[in-house]
Amino acid sequence: MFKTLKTLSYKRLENLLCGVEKPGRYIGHEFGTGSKSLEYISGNENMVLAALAFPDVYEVGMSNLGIQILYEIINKNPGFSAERVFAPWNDFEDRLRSEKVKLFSLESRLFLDSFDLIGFNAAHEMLYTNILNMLDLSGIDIRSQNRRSNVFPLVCSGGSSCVNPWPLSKFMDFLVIGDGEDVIVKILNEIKDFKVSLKDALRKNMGTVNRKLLKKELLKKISKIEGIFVPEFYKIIYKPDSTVKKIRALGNDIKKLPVRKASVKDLNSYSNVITRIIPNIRTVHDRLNIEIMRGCSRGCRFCQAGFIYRPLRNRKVKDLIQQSVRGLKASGYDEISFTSLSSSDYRQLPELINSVISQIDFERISISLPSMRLDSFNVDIMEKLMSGRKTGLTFAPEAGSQRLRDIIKKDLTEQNLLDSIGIALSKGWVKIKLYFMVGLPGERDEDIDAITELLNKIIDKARIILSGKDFSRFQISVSINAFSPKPFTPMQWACQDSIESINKKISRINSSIPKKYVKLNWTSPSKSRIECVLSRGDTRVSDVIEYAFRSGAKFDNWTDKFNYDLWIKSFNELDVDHGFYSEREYGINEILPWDAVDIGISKSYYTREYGILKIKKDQLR
Amino acid sequence: MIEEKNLKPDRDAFYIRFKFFKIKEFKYLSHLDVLNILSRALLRMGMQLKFSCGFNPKPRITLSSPIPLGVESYGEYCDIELKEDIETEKFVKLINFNLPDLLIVKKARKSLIKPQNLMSQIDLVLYEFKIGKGSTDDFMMIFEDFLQQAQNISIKKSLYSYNISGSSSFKILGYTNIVPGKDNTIYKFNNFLQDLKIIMNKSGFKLNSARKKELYILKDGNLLDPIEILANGYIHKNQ
Repeated sequence: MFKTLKTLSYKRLENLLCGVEKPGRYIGHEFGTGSKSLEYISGNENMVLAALAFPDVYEVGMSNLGIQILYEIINKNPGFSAERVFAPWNDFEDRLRSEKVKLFSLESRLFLDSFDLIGFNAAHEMLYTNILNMLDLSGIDIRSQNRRSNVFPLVCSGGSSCVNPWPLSKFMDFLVIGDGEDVIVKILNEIKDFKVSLKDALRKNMGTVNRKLLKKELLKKISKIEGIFVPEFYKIIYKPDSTVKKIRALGNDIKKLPVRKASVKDLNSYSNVITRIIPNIRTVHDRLNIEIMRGCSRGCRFCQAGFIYRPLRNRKVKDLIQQSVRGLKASGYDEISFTSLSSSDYRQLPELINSVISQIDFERISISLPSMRLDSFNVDIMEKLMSGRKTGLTFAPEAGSQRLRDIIKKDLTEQNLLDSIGIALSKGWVKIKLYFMVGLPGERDEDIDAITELLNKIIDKARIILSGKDFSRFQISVSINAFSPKPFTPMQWACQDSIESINKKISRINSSIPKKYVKLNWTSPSKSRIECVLSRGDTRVSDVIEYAFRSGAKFDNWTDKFNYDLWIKSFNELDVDHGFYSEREYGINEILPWDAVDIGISKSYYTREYGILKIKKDQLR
Repeated sequence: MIEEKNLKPDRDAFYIRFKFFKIKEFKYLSHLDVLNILSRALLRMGMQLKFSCGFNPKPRITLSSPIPLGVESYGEYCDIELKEDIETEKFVKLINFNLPDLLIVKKARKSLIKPQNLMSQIDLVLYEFKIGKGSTDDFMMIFEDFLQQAQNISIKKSLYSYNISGSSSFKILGYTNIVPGKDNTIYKFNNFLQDLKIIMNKSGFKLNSARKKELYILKDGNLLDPIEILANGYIHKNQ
């Protein structure tokens, strides 16, 4: 039960890295790492070891805020140690497999099966196969039911896609729903207590212990923590038509459903991470991220993040100013980003920005606001931030027509948008980026054409405002995504548009836009299809994920790696209809798989909102 | 030779040249990665640095020539420009405190005027190779055969000297030098490393490690390292 720690030697790492692309991904030793040394760990027998796993490559994973937050919390505690692990890129995976070397952590190069807990960040559904691949590479059985005789490592996952816990249910010992800050310490304390009492039991020589029962006992204790869902304690009973009949708890002493999500009440009690790990190689977001708010109060009907991170919690501006200045100093970064779901809703934004600017070397350090709504009130802020480096401004109208924007409750009128863009153009911006969705419920050809009409209006505006020289540099880049209904949104019941229909709509847009000014790109609708199925899936989808993984699916979020045919083959082989989870309007009275979770918003809110959506959709027909 | 005391300091600029090691796992980091790590460490130190101009000002840092990925270095040099003065001992302590553990600053020296560019100043580079079991005499024979037969004439010009040292199973071949010749036909270290591996493989020797050991500047018939050249008051090669 108490295994010795096994690590990969430097010599073997050298052999493995020979000829591998970007070897800097696998070497660790960054400034700011804070895990305990192997000596310290061996000297503390009750130490709990946690692996924080991000199922994508290093450059992507290190840009994730959640990993850094949990890493700091765990390593601050003298009784716990956290190390990181990321998905190896294909070339390194081949090397690991051919040399029969298990996946290892970055800090101590501990093999993953030496940890007490492996926590995956399932930030989105397209990471699921990578999670299975990482378990497999670690020599750990991907099915939780096959791991019952070994208490450790416990395998869990958290992150926004876990709000529907079923697609990962066959692989995880437990899932964490909601904010991880409070929960992680409670979980590790349970593990620690368990280790101590087990050692006592063994010392008292109580004979052989039934490991399966032990694991169940530990999981029961962990399941009492808020936000924890232990899949093996529950079962979905299906109706003949494949919809859910009921979700049953398997036992009387099992936590009652729905599992309420964990939510940090006072965000201010957790500072932004100041002494963060500074990557040795370039990452996707190579900058200091300062979270200014969590949650969103806007209620756009398609947006999952807008609901699952509620309630809206603001951080104190005084703290943020201090954390920003200290964080920049402690990291050496030359970019700071104020993150939230809608930064312009942070009331003291001007104060925050002005104060931070006055305390930093603003000539050198740039500030970015990734989710800013531009209007006359904050254009001055944006201008100040961009001083000289007017890269591009992003807007997300989401739909071309007012009618559709009303249906999805995107609080933006055409006049707002044109005014904002007009201001931006007059202040010197010449590059605009716009996000749209297609395949929305109630969408008609007129709505699709409205995208082109809107683009033409923007171009007309630019022609008037910009000088000839600037106008020649003017460009709009348009990004189109297929709408994918997500759990815990008012549109969770909606039917996803067919791939053929979405492709037709995209070509319709592509053939009508003025190509001289507009650069169009879009996400493949087949990827959105799989995303939709995985997000609304149940235990049967869990099997499909395993099948797809075994057939070679991984890095599904990488356009060049995503293999739609392979996924479809997996559904067909297991006789699971992917259309059931995507191209179908769910019944309003149907039990939804994710009804096992209480996200903190009543179901009646969702039904009411969806009802309004449907009325709006029909009214205008 | 110009005495340091006779030089008037450039009042708003202070120059430091330091030597550092890039060892173990960090041999897998590129030149650009190291440049980034160093600039962030300098910024974390809170030093008043000089920055480049433009929209994205970066600290003014010059590194010695890049080495191939996978080769350790015990002879990396870096020049920085500061807006404030600092004692070199304190500087070394502070920067090491702010660097990841596999980049280690070993020594530093101030210069009153801007030193000549590190990349162009270097005449010779010393590399050290550790060779697995085998007779040193055999290895030397094979190596000299290789030099004799070398198609590439520039190899002889680029190799300043070489020798083997140590009586244990590890043998060191030293002074593989790259002379930046006027005709630019230098034998690149990358190619040398590849060729060395090939001839060693053919003859059953194993290359255990390759590392950069030191950089030298030829001055009045002497080999001086980039910090010694400052210590001797030579700021520019041709003074």
